[in-house]
Amino acid sequence: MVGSVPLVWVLTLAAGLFCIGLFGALSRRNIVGMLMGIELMLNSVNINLVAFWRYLQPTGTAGLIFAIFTIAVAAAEVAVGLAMVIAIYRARLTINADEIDTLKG
Amino acid sequence: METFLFITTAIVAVGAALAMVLSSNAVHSALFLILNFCSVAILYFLLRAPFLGAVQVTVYAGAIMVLFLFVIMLLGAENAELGEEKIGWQKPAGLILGVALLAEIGYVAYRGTKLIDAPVADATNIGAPTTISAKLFSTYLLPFEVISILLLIAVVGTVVLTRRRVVAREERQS
Amino acid sequence: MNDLTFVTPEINWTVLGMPAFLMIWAMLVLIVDMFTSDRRVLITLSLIGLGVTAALGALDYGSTVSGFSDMLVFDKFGVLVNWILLAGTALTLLIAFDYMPRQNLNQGEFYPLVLFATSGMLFLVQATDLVTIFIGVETLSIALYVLTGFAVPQFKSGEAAIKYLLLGGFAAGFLVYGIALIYGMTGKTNLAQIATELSTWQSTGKALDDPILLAGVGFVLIALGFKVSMFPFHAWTPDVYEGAPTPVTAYMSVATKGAAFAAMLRFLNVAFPALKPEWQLLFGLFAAATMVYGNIVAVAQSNLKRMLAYSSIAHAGYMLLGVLAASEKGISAFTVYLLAYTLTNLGAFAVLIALENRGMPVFELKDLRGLGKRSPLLALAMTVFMFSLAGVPPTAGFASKFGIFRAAWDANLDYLAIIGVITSVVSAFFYLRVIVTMWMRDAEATEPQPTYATASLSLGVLVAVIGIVAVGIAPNIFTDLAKALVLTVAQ
Repeated sequence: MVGSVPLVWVLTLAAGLFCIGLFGALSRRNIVGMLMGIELMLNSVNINLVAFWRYLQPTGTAGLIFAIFTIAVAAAEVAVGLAMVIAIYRARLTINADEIDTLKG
Repeated sequence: METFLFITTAIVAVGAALAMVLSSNAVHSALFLILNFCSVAILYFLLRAPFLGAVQVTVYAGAIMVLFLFVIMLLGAENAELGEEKIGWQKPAGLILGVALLAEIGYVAYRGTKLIDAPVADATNIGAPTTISAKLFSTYLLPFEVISILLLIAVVGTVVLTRRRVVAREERQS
Repeated sequence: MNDLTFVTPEINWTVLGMPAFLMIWAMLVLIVDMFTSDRRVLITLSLIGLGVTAALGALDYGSTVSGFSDMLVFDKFGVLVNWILLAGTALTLLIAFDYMPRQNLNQGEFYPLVLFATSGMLFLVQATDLVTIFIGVETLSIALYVLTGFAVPQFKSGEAAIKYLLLGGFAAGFLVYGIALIYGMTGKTNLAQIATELSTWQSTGKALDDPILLAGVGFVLIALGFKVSMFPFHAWTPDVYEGAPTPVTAYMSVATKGAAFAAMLRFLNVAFPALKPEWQLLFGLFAAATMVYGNIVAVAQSNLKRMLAYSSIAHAGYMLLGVLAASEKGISAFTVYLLAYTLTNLGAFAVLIALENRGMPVFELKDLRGLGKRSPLLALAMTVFMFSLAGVPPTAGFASKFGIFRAAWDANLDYLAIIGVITSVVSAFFYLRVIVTMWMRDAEATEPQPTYATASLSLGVLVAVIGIVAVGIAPNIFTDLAKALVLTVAQ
């Protein structure tokens, strides 16, 4: 691919995906949707890292390894974020349940 | 051939990302995002990073997105929204920011001189799992270990956040 | 090619000591927490861990070692900032000790999570590679997201946590993007190697203001600006500070800032001294905007927690001056400022905690009325803290602000120093208003609110007051300690 596709194309693709993710993260009202937007952002940055590694630094490994670390961090962030969604959702349920109790009493 | 593959993958990736952002149903969004992640994985294979491609499929498309789908279906999480006060400015702000950034990056990418006369690299086996693991356990041992702490924090945090407060209830009753 | 052979890594315990010990200790506390729910055991263990970590720094203080392929460094600056962070953490635990059960937040995981966050900060302070900077930032952030949401059945806490997490994820995206661009242009992730690479560019006549490189530096600074709540990226601060449990707010407002600023200092001074005019100009504008915005909006706040949030934005602006001065003087002024700000802000939040009842999370300024009569000692402590935040002479706030402004002036950032002085005068208005309300206004004719000045909290407040007065009266001791802090450029 290195010979036939210019680096700029790959970088532009990554930038485009990053911007779509940015737009998604800002425009969605749904928390899960916003988290997905952030995932897309982190993922597109990885394309940058790998492309830079492949085209400009093919004898090192820094870009590749960094991409792996990014994936791990993204996974951790999503896990915590989704746990929060569940917790908030549950808190709302409890509030509703309390209201019902009050009405009965 | 590779040019053709790249263009096809890129179109699928951008299309899936757009569909993900624009679709109103969270489940559809998640499925489009999986499609996007898989096409990015193909891109990694094209860039001779097979290990990363495999990780992309298993971790991103496999684990993370399954988690997303699980939560969405568990909660019907279309309802999990932030407070109402934020809708007014957020959408246009997101659009403006996104477009401005894209324009800037596009400009930057074409003006950056270093990129155009980039040296052409030979295919090596650097992206193979053996090389990566050798690096990961030598040069990058420290960040690798700290990442494990980070994952531990995430696990503890998840448990703390989602545990039902049994203790609190008992206290209240007594 | 050497890349393919496996090199057994050399483990340098001097370099790794502080963060690694605290990480291991946090795991230990986590395990102990499974067997006992006695929080006295947990806090004692945690404080011991913090103490030992600080001692590890003292062991080799003064030497400069870097290890792990130069990803982490042990130097005077790092150890000093780490000590301040450890002291801040210890104070946080003291003031949180009785607050958490009072608010029905009994979970013992609080202590290990705070320790984990602190260990991430220590790691970040010592980081000299973009990889370790990224991982340090994320480690502390993820622990803080959880701590913010610690009171999660309360809606506000959950909302604050998710807001913080989303914006933090956003910042992470920018951070990695910036790092990717810098890596792409220079081929390096190590800060010192980036500087070497740039100097070869200079000697071969290659233009340094490559747009991609500048964009990369800008993105990294935006991400760090998020963490320190610098002006255009501060939007999350008031909501998150208001919604988080008060001790966590106190902790975030000092420790996160300290660690992120330290990383910013290293990033700018070690890797990009060649671009100094560019970032001094751009971030000078941001610093000015931060000082003006934080102080002016703080005037309009009637909620104390929000007022302190805006005041912390303003103080981020002052600390940014020390970072931008980019001189030996600036770095030591920053360190002294961080110490003064840590003690003062934690103390101020401690007084709020002493007044915070269960189910009464809103702090209006009028709740402080008559505090001078109800509990004169607390009111006296709060007076000291407010004087110090405003920068009135006999306190630490004055000495440290003076140092910062002088460093900025000497570094030819005179316009920033002037803006700093003017905004400090503005800020005196709302800090003094708190003092006036406490002493001069009588409480409304309702039943007296109880105060919760428990033993541990009083100890924390006392330590903070003593520290502030000590730094204020004899600033020389601390400035001497922080003198000649040159950031290490790894060989």
